[in-house]
Amino acid sequence: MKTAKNLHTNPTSIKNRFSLRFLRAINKLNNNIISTPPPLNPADRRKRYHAIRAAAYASMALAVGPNKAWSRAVLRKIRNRTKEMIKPRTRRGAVGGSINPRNELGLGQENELRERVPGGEAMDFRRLLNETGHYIQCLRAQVQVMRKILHYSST
Amino acid sequence: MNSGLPEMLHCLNTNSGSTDMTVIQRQRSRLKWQQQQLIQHQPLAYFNEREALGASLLTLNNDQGLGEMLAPGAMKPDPGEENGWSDDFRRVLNYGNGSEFEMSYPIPRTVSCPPNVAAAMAAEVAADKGKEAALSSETGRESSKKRKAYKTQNLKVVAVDKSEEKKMKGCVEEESKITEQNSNSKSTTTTGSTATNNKNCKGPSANNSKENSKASDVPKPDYIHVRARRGQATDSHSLAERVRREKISERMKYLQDLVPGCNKITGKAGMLDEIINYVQSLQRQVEFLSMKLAAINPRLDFDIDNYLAKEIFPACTSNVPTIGASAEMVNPSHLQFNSLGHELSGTALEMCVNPLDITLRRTISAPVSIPDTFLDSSSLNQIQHLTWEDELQNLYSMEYQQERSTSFISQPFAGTENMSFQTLIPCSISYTN
Repeated sequence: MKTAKNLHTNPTSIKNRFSLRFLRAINKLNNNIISTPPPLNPADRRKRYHAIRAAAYASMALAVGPNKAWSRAVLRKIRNRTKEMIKPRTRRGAVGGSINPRNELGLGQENELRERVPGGEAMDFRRLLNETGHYIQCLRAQVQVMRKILHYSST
Repeated sequence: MNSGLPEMLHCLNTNSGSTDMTVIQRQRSRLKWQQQQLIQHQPLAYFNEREALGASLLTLNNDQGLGEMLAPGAMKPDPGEENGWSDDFRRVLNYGNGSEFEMSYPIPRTVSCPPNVAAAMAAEVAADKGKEAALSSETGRESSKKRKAYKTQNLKVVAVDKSEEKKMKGCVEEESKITEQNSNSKSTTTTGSTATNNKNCKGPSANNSKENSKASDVPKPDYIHVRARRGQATDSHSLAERVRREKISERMKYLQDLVPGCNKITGKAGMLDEIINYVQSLQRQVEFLSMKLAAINPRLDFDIDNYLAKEIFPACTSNVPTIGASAEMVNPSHLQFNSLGHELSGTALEMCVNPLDITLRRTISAPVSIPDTFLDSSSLNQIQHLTWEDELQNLYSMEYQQERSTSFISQPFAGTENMSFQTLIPCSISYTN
Protein backbone atom coordinates (compact mmCIF):
# COMPACT_ATOMS: atom_id res chain seq x y z
CA MET A 1 0.00 0.00 0.00
CA LYS A 2 2.72 2.41 0.85
CA THR A 3 4.55 1.67 -2.34
CA ALA A 4 1.55 2.17 -4.54
CA LYS A 5 3.08 5.24 -6.04
CA ASN A 6 6.21 3.38 -6.86
CA LEU A 7 4.27 0.81 -8.70
CA HIS A 8 2.22 3.19 -10.68
CA THR A 9 4.94 3.68 -13.19
CA ASN A 10 4.95 0.18 -14.43
CA PRO A 11 2.22 -2.17 -13.37
CA THR A 12 -0.91 -0.13 -13.29
CA SER A 13 -1.91 -1.71 -16.50
CA ILE A 14 -0.93 -5.04 -15.11
CA LYS A 15 -3.04 -4.30 -12.10
CA ASN A 16 -5.98 -3.48 -14.24
CA ARG A 17 -5.59 -6.52 -16.34
CA PHE A 18 -5.14 -8.68 -13.33
CA SER A 19 -8.18 -7.34 -11.55
CA LEU A 20 -10.36 -7.79 -14.58
CA ARG A 21 -9.26 -11.33 -15.12
CA PHE A 22 -9.45 -12.19 -11.51
CA LEU A 23 -12.92 -10.85 -11.04
CA ARG A 24 -14.08 -12.60 -14.12
CA ALA A 25 -12.68 -15.84 -12.80
CA ILE A 26 -14.32 -15.33 -9.45
CA ASN A 27 -17.57 -14.68 -11.14
CA LYS A 28 -17.29 -17.85 -13.01
CA LEU A 29 -16.57 -19.68 -9.83
CA ASN A 30 -19.49 -18.06 -8.13
CA ASN A 31 -21.80 -18.99 -10.90
CA ASN A 32 -20.73 -22.54 -10.47
CA ILE A 33 -21.10 -22.48 -6.77
CA ILE A 34 -24.39 -20.70 -6.52
CA SER A 35 -26.09 -23.75 -7.85
CA THR A 36 -24.90 -25.74 -4.86
CA PRO A 37 -26.63 -25.30 -1.53
CA PRO A 38 -25.20 -22.59 0.69
CA PRO A 39 -23.56 -24.45 3.52
CA LEU A 40 -20.39 -25.75 2.07
CA ASN A 41 -18.68 -28.67 3.61
CA PRO A 42 -15.00 -28.25 4.32
CA ALA A 43 -13.92 -30.10 1.25
CA ASP A 44 -15.90 -27.77 -0.94
CA ARG A 45 -14.53 -24.83 0.85
CA ARG A 46 -11.04 -26.02 0.35
CA LYS A 47 -11.69 -26.66 -3.26
CA ARG A 48 -13.04 -23.21 -3.63
CA TYR A 49 -10.07 -21.75 -1.88
CA HIS A 50 -7.71 -23.54 -4.18
CA ALA A 51 -9.70 -22.52 -7.16
CA ILE A 52 -9.57 -18.91 -6.15
CA ARG A 53 -5.91 -19.09 -5.44
CA ALA A 54 -5.27 -20.67 -8.78
CA ALA A 55 -7.41 -18.01 -10.36
CA ALA A 56 -5.37 -15.35 -8.67
CA TYR A 57 -2.08 -16.81 -9.81
CA ALA A 58 -3.26 -17.58 -13.28
CA SER A 59 -4.81 -14.22 -13.84
CA MET A 60 -1.67 -12.56 -12.61
CA ALA A 61 0.43 -14.63 -14.92
CA LEU A 62 -1.88 -13.95 -17.82
CA ALA A 63 -1.83 -10.28 -17.06
CA VAL A 64 1.92 -10.28 -17.09
CA GLY A 65 2.08 -12.15 -20.32
CA PRO A 66 4.46 -14.76 -21.65
CA ASN A 67 7.55 -12.60 -21.61
CA LYS A 68 8.53 -13.45 -18.11
CA ALA A 69 9.70 -16.87 -17.18
CA TRP A 70 7.86 -16.94 -13.92
CA SER A 71 4.50 -16.28 -15.48
CA ARG A 72 5.12 -19.03 -17.98
CA ALA A 73 6.05 -21.34 -15.17
CA VAL A 74 2.97 -20.45 -13.20
CA LEU A 75 0.73 -21.11 -16.14
CA ARG A 76 2.48 -24.33 -16.90
CA LYS A 77 2.09 -25.51 -13.37
CA ILE A 78 -1.55 -24.63 -13.25
CA ARG A 79 -2.22 -26.30 -16.53
CA ASN A 80 -0.36 -29.39 -15.58
CA ARG A 81 -2.10 -29.96 -12.35
CA THR A 82 -5.34 -28.21 -11.91
CA LYS A 83 -6.52 -30.96 -9.68
CA GLU A 84 -4.05 -31.01 -6.90
CA MET A 85 -2.69 -27.72 -5.84
CA ILE A 86 -1.85 -28.58 -2.31
CA LYS A 87 0.84 -31.12 -2.75
CA PRO A 88 3.49 -29.06 -4.44
CA ARG A 89 2.98 -26.28 -1.99
CA THR A 90 3.66 -28.45 1.00
CA ARG A 91 6.48 -30.18 -0.74
CA ARG A 92 7.96 -26.90 -1.69
CA GLY A 93 7.83 -25.63 1.85
CA ALA A 94 9.38 -28.80 3.13
CA VAL A 95 12.20 -28.66 0.66
CA GLY A 96 12.90 -25.07 1.45
CA GLY A 97 13.05 -25.88 5.11
CA SER A 98 15.46 -28.69 4.53
CA ILE A 99 17.74 -26.65 2.35
CA ASN A 100 17.84 -23.55 4.42
CA PRO A 101 20.00 -24.64 7.35
CA ARG A 102 22.35 -26.49 5.12
CA ASN A 103 24.16 -23.57 3.71
CA GLU A 104 24.90 -20.18 5.09
CA LEU A 105 26.94 -18.96 2.21
CA GLY A 106 24.30 -17.80 -0.16
CA LEU A 107 24.00 -20.95 -2.12
CA GLY A 108 21.28 -22.26 0.12
CA GLN A 109 19.48 -18.99 -0.13
CA GLU A 110 19.89 -19.05 -3.82
CA ASN A 111 18.32 -22.46 -4.01
CA GLU A 112 15.52 -21.36 -1.82
CA LEU A 113 14.94 -18.34 -3.94
CA ARG A 114 14.86 -20.57 -6.95
CA GLU A 115 12.14 -22.54 -5.34
CA ARG A 116 10.26 -19.48 -4.33
CA VAL A 117 10.20 -17.87 -7.70
CA PRO A 118 8.24 -20.03 -10.08
CA GLY A 119 10.28 -21.28 -12.94
CA GLY A 120 13.45 -20.18 -11.28
CA GLU A 121 15.04 -23.59 -11.17
CA ALA A 122 16.74 -23.39 -14.50
CA MET A 123 17.99 -19.84 -14.70
CA ASP A 124 21.34 -18.36 -14.07
CA PHE A 125 21.55 -16.21 -11.04
CA ARG A 126 21.31 -12.88 -12.73
CA ARG A 127 18.19 -13.82 -14.57
CA LEU A 128 16.80 -15.21 -11.38
CA LEU A 129 17.30 -11.87 -9.72
CA ASN A 130 15.62 -10.11 -12.59
CA GLU A 131 12.68 -12.41 -12.43
CA THR A 132 12.52 -12.07 -8.70
CA GLY A 133 12.29 -8.32 -8.99
CA HIS A 134 9.48 -8.50 -11.44
CA TYR A 135 7.77 -11.21 -9.51
CA ILE A 136 7.90 -9.17 -6.35
CA GLN A 137 6.40 -6.20 -8.08
CA CYS A 138 3.62 -8.25 -9.52
CA LEU A 139 2.92 -10.01 -6.26
CA ARG A 140 2.69 -6.69 -4.57
CA ALA A 141 0.25 -5.42 -7.12
CA GLN A 142 -1.70 -8.60 -6.78
CA VAL A 143 -1.90 -8.25 -3.06
CA GLN A 144 -3.06 -4.70 -3.38
CA VAL A 145 -5.76 -5.54 -5.83
CA MET A 146 -6.96 -8.51 -3.87
CA ARG A 147 -7.03 -6.48 -0.74
CA LYS A 148 -9.08 -3.89 -2.44
CA ILE A 149 -11.48 -6.44 -3.74
CA LEU A 150 -11.77 -7.95 -0.33
CA HIS A 151 -12.20 -4.64 1.30
CA TYR A 152 -14.72 -3.66 -1.24
CA SER A 153 -16.72 -6.80 -1.07
CA SER A 154 -16.59 -7.50 2.61
CA THR A 155 -16.00 -4.64 4.93
CA MET B 1 45.40 -22.95 -56.23
CA ASN B 2 42.51 -23.24 -58.54
CA SER B 3 41.68 -26.62 -57.24
CA GLY B 4 41.95 -25.42 -53.70
CA LEU B 5 39.69 -22.46 -54.06
CA PRO B 6 36.37 -24.10 -54.69
CA GLU B 7 36.90 -26.38 -51.79
CA MET B 8 37.64 -23.51 -49.57
CA LEU B 9 34.66 -21.66 -50.82
CA HIS B 10 32.59 -24.62 -50.06
CA CYS B 11 33.89 -24.71 -46.57
CA LEU B 12 33.27 -21.06 -46.14
CA ASN B 13 29.75 -21.26 -47.33
CA THR B 14 28.85 -24.13 -45.13
CA ASN B 15 30.43 -22.40 -42.25
CA SER B 16 28.62 -19.21 -42.83
CA GLY B 17 25.38 -21.04 -42.62
CA SER B 18 25.95 -22.42 -39.18
CA THR B 19 27.12 -20.37 -36.28
CA ASP B 20 29.16 -23.09 -34.74
CA MET B 21 31.85 -23.87 -37.17
CA THR B 22 33.49 -27.06 -38.04
CA VAL B 23 36.98 -26.50 -36.93
CA ILE B 24 38.67 -29.17 -38.94
CA GLN B 25 37.27 -28.01 -42.20
CA ARG B 26 38.36 -24.53 -41.62
CA GLN B 27 41.80 -25.48 -40.64
CA ARG B 28 42.20 -27.68 -43.63
CA SER B 29 41.05 -25.04 -46.01
CA ARG B 30 43.26 -22.48 -44.42
CA LEU B 31 46.29 -24.67 -44.63
CA LYS B 32 45.65 -25.27 -48.26
CA TRP B 33 45.30 -21.63 -48.86
CA GLN B 34 48.53 -20.89 -47.18
CA GLN B 35 50.42 -23.52 -49.01
CA GLN B 36 49.22 -22.22 -52.25
CA GLN B 37 50.18 -18.78 -51.30
CA LEU B 38 53.60 -19.94 -50.43
CA ILE B 39 53.95 -21.60 -53.72
CA GLN B 40 52.91 -18.63 -55.72
CA HIS B 41 54.52 -15.48 -54.55
CA GLN B 42 53.49 -13.23 -57.36
CA PRO B 43 50.97 -10.66 -56.34
CA LEU B 44 49.36 -10.47 -59.71
CA ALA B 45 48.30 -14.05 -59.57
CA TYR B 46 46.72 -13.45 -56.21
CA PHE B 47 45.08 -10.51 -57.62
CA ASN B 48 43.34 -12.34 -60.36
CA GLU B 49 42.35 -15.12 -58.18
CA ARG B 50 41.06 -12.88 -55.57
CA GLU B 51 38.86 -11.29 -58.10
CA ALA B 52 37.76 -14.64 -59.27
CA LEU B 53 37.01 -15.60 -55.73
CA GLY B 54 34.98 -12.50 -55.23
CA ALA B 55 33.06 -13.12 -58.39
CA SER B 56 32.32 -16.67 -57.50
CA LEU B 57 31.26 -15.70 -54.05
CA LEU B 58 28.96 -13.12 -55.44
CA THR B 59 27.48 -15.59 -57.78
CA LEU B 60 26.92 -17.81 -54.83
CA ASN B 61 24.80 -14.92 -53.58
CA ASN B 62 26.51 -14.40 -50.30
CA ASP B 63 27.27 -11.08 -48.72
CA GLN B 64 27.51 -8.15 -50.99
CA GLY B 65 30.09 -6.92 -48.60
CA LEU B 66 32.48 -9.42 -50.06
CA GLY B 67 32.63 -7.48 -53.23
CA GLU B 68 33.38 -4.39 -51.26
CA MET B 69 35.96 -6.23 -49.31
CA LEU B 70 37.64 -7.53 -52.34
CA ALA B 71 37.79 -4.21 -54.03
CA PRO B 72 40.31 -2.63 -51.65
CA GLY B 73 42.17 -5.87 -51.74
CA ALA B 74 42.46 -5.55 -55.45
CA MET B 75 43.94 -2.12 -55.15
CA LYS B 76 46.86 -3.28 -53.15
CA PRO B 77 48.23 -6.62 -54.03
CA ASP B 78 49.92 -7.20 -50.73
CA PRO B 79 47.07 -6.89 -48.28
CA GLY B 80 44.99 -8.90 -50.59
CA GLU B 81 45.99 -11.97 -48.75
CA GLU B 82 44.67 -10.63 -45.56
CA ASN B 83 41.51 -9.64 -47.26
CA GLY B 84 41.05 -13.17 -48.27
CA TRP B 85 41.50 -14.20 -44.75
CA SER B 86 39.18 -11.66 -43.37
CA ASP B 87 36.70 -12.86 -45.89
CA ASP B 88 37.09 -16.17 -44.33
CA PHE B 89 36.36 -14.76 -40.94
CA ARG B 90 33.43 -12.85 -42.04
CA ARG B 91 32.02 -15.79 -43.75
CA VAL B 92 32.31 -17.93 -40.73
CA LEU B 93 31.01 -15.37 -38.36
CA ASN B 94 28.14 -14.20 -40.49
CA TYR B 95 29.03 -10.64 -40.04
CA GLY B 96 26.93 -7.85 -41.39
CA ASN B 97 27.95 -5.83 -44.33
CA GLY B 98 28.20 -2.57 -42.50
CA SER B 99 31.38 -3.32 -40.68
CA GLU B 100 33.39 -4.60 -43.52
CA PHE B 101 34.97 -1.45 -44.72
CA GLU B 102 36.23 -0.76 -41.33
CA MET B 103 37.51 -4.21 -41.06
CA SER B 104 39.60 -3.78 -44.11
CA TYR B 105 41.36 -0.72 -42.80
CA PRO B 106 43.66 -2.15 -40.22
CA ILE B 107 44.94 -4.73 -42.54
CA PRO B 108 47.22 -2.62 -44.72
CA ARG B 109 48.56 -1.08 -41.62
CA THR B 110 49.57 -4.38 -40.27
CA VAL B 111 51.48 -4.96 -43.40
CA SER B 112 53.31 -1.73 -43.12
CA CYS B 113 55.36 -2.73 -40.12
CA PRO B 114 55.88 -6.44 -40.14
CA PRO B 115 58.78 -6.98 -37.73
CA ASN B 116 56.98 -5.81 -34.61
CA VAL B 117 53.86 -7.66 -35.28
CA ALA B 118 55.49 -11.01 -35.32
CA ALA B 119 56.39 -10.54 -31.70
CA ALA B 120 53.00 -9.14 -30.93
CA MET B 121 51.47 -12.13 -32.51
CA ALA B 122 53.44 -14.46 -30.32
CA ALA B 123 52.23 -12.57 -27.31
CA GLU B 124 48.69 -12.74 -28.50
CA VAL B 125 48.80 -16.40 -29.11
CA ALA B 126 49.66 -16.91 -25.52
CA ALA B 127 47.19 -14.34 -24.37
CA ASP B 128 44.21 -15.34 -26.41
CA LYS B 129 43.88 -18.90 -25.35
CA GLY B 130 41.12 -18.30 -22.87
CA LYS B 131 39.77 -15.11 -24.23
CA GLU B 132 36.55 -16.31 -25.71
CA ALA B 133 34.65 -15.82 -22.50
CA ALA B 134 35.79 -12.29 -22.03
CA LEU B 135 33.66 -9.43 -23.17
CA SER B 136 36.10 -7.91 -25.54
CA SER B 137 36.66 -10.94 -27.61
CA GLU B 138 35.88 -8.86 -30.62
CA THR B 139 39.20 -7.14 -30.30
CA GLY B 140 40.78 -10.47 -30.77
CA ARG B 141 39.24 -10.64 -34.13
CA GLU B 142 41.09 -7.75 -35.52
CA SER B 143 44.30 -8.85 -34.08
CA SER B 144 43.66 -12.30 -35.32
CA LYS B 145 43.34 -10.92 -38.75
CA LYS B 146 46.66 -9.25 -38.51
CA ARG B 147 48.11 -12.35 -37.16
CA LYS B 148 46.80 -14.15 -40.11
CA ALA B 149 48.57 -11.81 -42.39
CA TYR B 150 51.87 -12.51 -40.83
CA LYS B 151 51.26 -16.09 -40.40
CA THR B 152 51.17 -16.48 -44.12
CA GLN B 153 54.52 -14.85 -44.19
CA ASN B 154 56.02 -16.45 -41.16
CA LEU B 155 54.51 -19.89 -41.44
CA LYS B 156 53.28 -20.03 -37.92
CA VAL B 157 50.13 -21.77 -38.61
CA VAL B 158 48.79 -24.30 -36.26
CA ALA B 159 48.91 -22.74 -32.86
CA VAL B 160 47.53 -19.49 -34.12
CA ASP B 161 44.71 -21.25 -35.82
CA LYS B 162 43.63 -22.91 -32.67
CA SER B 163 43.65 -19.80 -30.62
CA GLU B 164 41.80 -18.02 -33.32
CA GLU B 165 39.01 -20.44 -33.53
CA LYS B 166 38.50 -20.18 -29.86
CA LYS B 167 38.15 -16.50 -30.26
CA MET B 168 35.84 -16.64 -33.18
CA LYS B 169 33.25 -18.38 -31.14
CA GLY B 170 33.25 -15.66 -28.61
CA CYS B 171 33.34 -12.99 -31.23
CA VAL B 172 29.91 -13.08 -32.58
CA GLU B 173 28.01 -10.94 -30.15
CA GLU B 174 30.46 -8.10 -29.93
CA GLU B 175 30.15 -6.71 -33.35
CA SER B 176 28.82 -3.33 -32.44
CA LYS B 177 32.04 -2.19 -30.91
CA ILE B 178 34.05 -2.52 -34.02
CA THR B 179 33.91 1.10 -34.97
CA GLU B 180 35.25 2.31 -31.72
CA GLN B 181 37.94 -0.27 -31.79
CA ASN B 182 38.92 0.78 -35.22
CA SER B 183 39.14 4.40 -34.29
CA ASN B 184 41.40 3.41 -31.50
CA SER B 185 43.61 1.34 -33.65
CA LYS B 186 43.85 4.06 -36.24
CA SER B 187 45.34 6.44 -33.78
CA THR B 188 48.10 4.09 -32.82
CA THR B 189 50.60 2.01 -34.66
CA THR B 190 49.90 -1.55 -35.45
CA THR B 191 51.79 -2.87 -32.52
CA GLY B 192 50.07 -0.30 -30.47
CA SER B 193 46.71 -1.41 -31.69
CA THR B 194 47.36 -5.00 -30.97
CA ALA B 195 48.65 -4.15 -27.59
CA THR B 196 45.70 -1.94 -26.82
CA ASN B 197 43.41 -4.65 -27.91
CA ASN B 198 45.07 -6.90 -25.51
CA LYS B 199 44.82 -4.27 -22.91
CA ASN B 200 41.15 -4.04 -23.43
CA CYS B 201 40.88 -7.57 -22.40
CA LYS B 202 43.48 -7.61 -19.79
CA GLY B 203 43.23 -4.36 -18.01
CA PRO B 204 45.97 -1.80 -17.95
CA SER B 205 47.73 -2.57 -14.74
CA ALA B 206 48.84 -6.12 -15.18
CA ASN B 207 49.45 -7.72 -18.50
CA ASN B 208 50.81 -11.06 -19.31
CA SER B 209 54.48 -11.56 -18.97
CA LYS B 210 55.13 -11.58 -22.67
CA GLU B 211 53.47 -8.33 -23.51
CA ASN B 212 54.50 -6.33 -20.53
CA SER B 213 57.15 -4.47 -22.42
CA LYS B 214 54.88 -3.71 -25.27
CA ALA B 215 51.86 -2.48 -23.39
CA SER B 216 53.80 -0.04 -21.32
CA ASP B 217 54.60 2.46 -24.04
CA VAL B 218 51.16 2.46 -25.60
CA PRO B 219 48.60 5.19 -24.89
CA LYS B 220 45.46 4.00 -23.20
CA PRO B 221 42.41 3.50 -25.32
CA ASP B 222 39.34 5.45 -24.30
CA TYR B 223 37.12 2.44 -24.59
CA ILE B 224 37.59 -0.16 -21.94
CA HIS B 225 35.30 -2.99 -21.09
CA VAL B 226 36.65 -4.16 -17.83
CA ARG B 227 39.27 -2.55 -15.76
CA ALA B 228 41.15 -4.46 -13.19
CA ARG B 229 42.32 -2.63 -10.16
CA ARG B 230 45.80 -3.06 -8.93
CA GLY B 231 46.31 -6.44 -7.46
CA GLN B 232 43.26 -7.99 -9.02
CA ALA B 233 43.47 -11.03 -11.13
CA THR B 234 43.50 -10.29 -14.81
CA ASP B 235 43.07 -13.54 -16.57
CA SER B 236 39.95 -13.70 -18.62
CA HIS B 237 38.07 -16.02 -16.34
CA SER B 238 38.35 -13.84 -13.35
CA LEU B 239 37.52 -10.85 -15.46
CA ALA B 240 34.39 -12.47 -16.70
CA GLU B 241 33.59 -13.49 -13.19
CA ARG B 242 34.03 -9.95 -12.04
CA VAL B 243 31.67 -8.70 -14.71
CA ARG B 244 29.15 -11.27 -13.68
CA ARG B 245 29.45 -10.31 -10.07
CA GLU B 246 29.01 -6.68 -10.88
CA LYS B 247 25.86 -7.35 -12.76
CA ILE B 248 24.55 -9.53 -10.00
CA SER B 249 25.26 -6.93 -7.40
CA GLU B 250 23.51 -4.38 -9.55
CA ARG B 251 20.45 -6.56 -9.65
CA MET B 252 20.75 -7.09 -5.96
CA LYS B 253 20.76 -3.38 -5.44
CA TYR B 254 17.63 -3.10 -7.45
CA LEU B 255 16.01 -5.81 -5.41
CA GLN B 256 17.18 -4.12 -2.29
CA ASP B 257 15.30 -1.05 -3.28
CA LEU B 258 12.31 -3.14 -4.04
CA VAL B 259 12.13 -5.06 -0.81
CA PRO B 260 11.19 -2.92 2.14
CA GLY B 261 13.50 -3.07 5.08
CA CYS B 262 16.29 -4.52 3.02
CA ASN B 263 18.34 -1.38 2.95
CA LYS B 264 20.00 -1.86 6.26
CA ILE B 265 21.12 -5.34 5.59
CA THR B 266 24.57 -5.76 4.20
CA GLY B 267 25.84 -8.95 2.75
CA LYS B 268 24.43 -11.00 0.02
CA ALA B 269 23.21 -13.84 2.15
CA GLY B 270 21.22 -11.60 4.42
CA MET B 271 19.75 -9.76 1.51
CA LEU B 272 18.80 -12.97 -0.16
CA ASP B 273 17.20 -14.10 3.05
CA GLU B 274 15.24 -10.94 3.23
CA ILE B 275 14.16 -11.20 -0.36
CA ILE B 276 13.09 -14.76 0.13
CA ASN B 277 11.14 -13.82 3.18
CA TYR B 278 9.48 -11.03 1.38
CA VAL B 279 8.51 -13.16 -1.56
CA GLN B 280 7.26 -15.77 0.81
CA SER B 281 5.23 -13.30 2.75
CA LEU B 282 3.73 -11.92 -0.41
CA GLN B 283 2.81 -15.36 -1.56
CA ARG B 284 1.28 -16.07 1.79
CA GLN B 285 -0.62 -12.87 1.59
CA VAL B 286 -2.01 -13.87 -1.74
CA GLU B 287 -3.01 -17.21 -0.34
CA PHE B 288 -4.53 -15.61 2.68
CA LEU B 289 -6.44 -13.15 0.61
CA SER B 290 -7.70 -15.81 -1.69
CA MET B 291 -8.76 -17.78 1.34
CA LYS B 292 -10.66 -14.81 2.59
CA LEU B 293 -12.22 -14.24 -0.75
CA ALA B 294 -13.21 -17.84 -0.84
CA ALA B 295 -14.70 -17.48 2.59
CA ILE B 296 -16.66 -14.41 1.79
CA ASN B 297 -17.82 -14.71 -1.69
CA PRO B 298 -19.49 -17.99 -2.23
CA ARG B 299 -23.08 -17.04 -1.84
CA LEU B 300 -22.79 -13.41 -2.42
CA ASP B 301 -23.70 -12.25 -5.76
CA PHE B 302 -22.33 -8.81 -5.44
CA ASP B 303 -19.05 -9.69 -6.90
CA ILE B 304 -20.79 -9.29 -10.17
CA ASP B 305 -21.69 -5.80 -9.17
CA ASN B 306 -18.18 -5.31 -8.11
CA TYR B 307 -17.08 -6.50 -11.42
CA LEU B 308 -19.56 -4.34 -13.20
CA ALA B 309 -18.51 -1.31 -11.30
CA LYS B 310 -14.94 -2.09 -11.99
CA GLU B 311 -15.47 -2.66 -15.58
CA ILE B 312 -17.58 0.37 -16.09
CA PHE B 313 -15.61 2.71 -13.98
CA PRO B 314 -11.96 1.93 -14.33
CA ALA B 315 -12.38 0.85 -17.87
CA CYS B 316 -12.96 4.44 -18.76
CA THR B 317 -10.69 5.91 -16.17
CA SER B 318 -8.33 2.99 -16.42
CA ASN B 319 -7.19 3.44 -12.93
CA VAL B 320 -7.51 0.99 -10.14
CA PRO B 321 -7.20 3.31 -7.20
CA THR B 322 -10.41 5.04 -8.15
CA ILE B 323 -12.16 1.83 -7.36
CA GLY B 324 -10.69 1.82 -3.96
CA ALA B 325 -11.65 5.40 -3.52
CA SER B 326 -15.17 4.81 -4.64
CA ALA B 327 -15.38 1.79 -2.45
CA GLU B 328 -14.28 3.88 0.41
CA MET B 329 -16.78 6.45 -0.56
CA VAL B 330 -19.45 3.88 -0.36
CA ASN B 331 -18.30 2.13 2.67
CA PRO B 332 -18.14 4.58 5.54
CA SER B 333 -21.85 5.04 5.76
CA HIS B 334 -22.35 1.33 6.09
CA LEU B 335 -19.14 0.47 7.65
CA GLN B 336 -20.35 -1.00 10.85
CA PHE B 337 -23.07 -2.90 9.29
CA ASN B 338 -20.85 -4.29 6.66
CA SER B 339 -18.31 -5.38 9.13
CA LEU B 340 -21.01 -7.22 10.90
CA GLY B 341 -21.99 -8.90 7.73
CA HIS B 342 -18.45 -9.87 7.15
CA GLU B 343 -18.10 -11.42 10.53
CA LEU B 344 -21.32 -13.29 10.15
CA SER B 345 -20.31 -14.70 6.87
CA GLY B 346 -17.18 -15.80 8.59
CA THR B 347 -19.19 -17.60 11.18
CA ALA B 348 -21.30 -19.24 8.60
CA LEU B 349 -18.30 -20.57 6.88
CA GLU B 350 -16.38 -21.35 9.99
CA MET B 351 -13.28 -20.06 8.41
CA CYS B 352 -10.94 -19.03 11.09
CA VAL B 353 -8.46 -16.98 9.24
CA ASN B 354 -7.90 -14.37 11.80
CA PRO B 355 -7.75 -14.50 15.58
CA LEU B 356 -9.81 -11.39 15.62
CA ASP B 357 -12.33 -13.12 13.49
CA ILE B 358 -12.39 -16.04 15.80
CA THR B 359 -13.10 -14.00 18.83
CA LEU B 360 -15.75 -12.06 17.07
CA ARG B 361 -17.31 -15.16 15.81
CA ARG B 362 -17.46 -16.54 19.29
CA THR B 363 -19.16 -13.50 20.57
CA ILE B 364 -21.57 -13.65 17.75
CA SER B 365 -22.31 -17.29 17.71
CA ALA B 366 -22.90 -17.58 21.40
CA PRO B 367 -26.23 -15.82 21.53
CA VAL B 368 -28.74 -17.12 19.15
CA SER B 369 -30.89 -14.08 19.42
CA ILE B 370 -28.46 -11.90 17.73
CA PRO B 371 -29.84 -8.44 17.32
CA ASP B 372 -29.31 -7.07 20.78
CA THR B 373 -25.72 -8.03 21.05
CA PHE B 374 -25.16 -6.71 17.65
CA LEU B 375 -26.64 -3.47 18.45
CA ASP B 376 -24.49 -3.17 21.45
CA SER B 377 -21.34 -4.19 19.82
CA SER B 378 -21.77 -2.20 16.69
CA SER B 379 -23.14 0.79 18.57
CA LEU B 380 -25.22 2.03 15.76
CA ASN B 381 -27.05 5.21 16.27
CA GLN B 382 -29.89 4.75 13.90
CA ILE B 383 -31.09 1.25 13.79
CA GLN B 384 -34.09 -0.08 12.12
CA HIS B 385 -35.31 -3.50 12.85
CA LEU B 386 -36.73 -4.89 9.77
CA THR B 387 -38.27 -8.16 9.08
CA TRP B 388 -36.74 -10.63 6.79
CA GLU B 389 -39.33 -10.20 4.09
CA ASP B 390 -39.02 -6.48 4.12
CA GLU B 391 -35.38 -6.75 3.82
CA LEU B 392 -35.64 -9.07 0.95
CA GLN B 393 -37.99 -6.83 -0.88
CA ASN B 394 -35.78 -3.92 -0.22
CA LEU B 395 -32.87 -5.86 -1.39
CA TYR B 396 -34.28 -7.07 -4.58
CA SER B 397 -35.37 -3.66 -5.52
CA MET B 398 -31.96 -2.39 -4.69
CA GLU B 399 -30.23 -4.96 -6.68
CA TYR B 400 -32.47 -4.37 -9.58
CA GLN B 401 -31.69 -0.75 -9.37
CA GLN B 402 -28.10 -1.41 -9.26
CA GLU B 403 -27.97 -3.72 -12.13
CA ARG B 404 -29.62 -1.07 -14.15
CA SER B 405 -27.82 1.93 -12.94
CA THR B 406 -24.32 2.24 -14.09
CA SER B 407 -23.87 5.15 -11.78
CA PHE B 408 -21.96 4.35 -8.70
CA ILE B 409 -24.28 5.09 -5.83
CA SER B 410 -23.80 4.04 -2.31
CA GLN B 411 -27.34 2.82 -2.06
CA PRO B 412 -27.19 -0.26 -4.25
CA PHE B 413 -24.12 -1.53 -2.62
CA ALA B 414 -25.64 -1.23 0.74
CA GLY B 415 -28.45 -3.27 -0.64
CA THR B 416 -26.22 -5.98 -1.87
CA GLU B 417 -24.29 -6.04 1.30
CA ASN B 418 -27.48 -6.45 3.13
CA MET B 419 -28.45 -9.23 0.93
CA SER B 420 -25.33 -11.06 1.65
CA PHE B 421 -25.89 -10.59 5.28
CA GLN B 422 -29.40 -11.80 5.22
CA THR B 423 -29.02 -14.74 3.06
CA LEU B 424 -26.64 -15.94 5.64
CA ILE B 425 -28.72 -15.29 8.68
CA PRO B 426 -32.43 -15.37 8.41
CA CYS B 427 -33.39 -13.32 11.37
CA SER B 428 -34.10 -9.77 12.17
CA ILE B 429 -31.34 -7.51 11.22
CA SER B 430 -30.06 -4.12 11.93
CA TYR B 431 -30.21 -2.03 8.90
CA THR B 432 -28.90 1.41 8.43
CA ASN B 433 -29.59 3.38 5.41
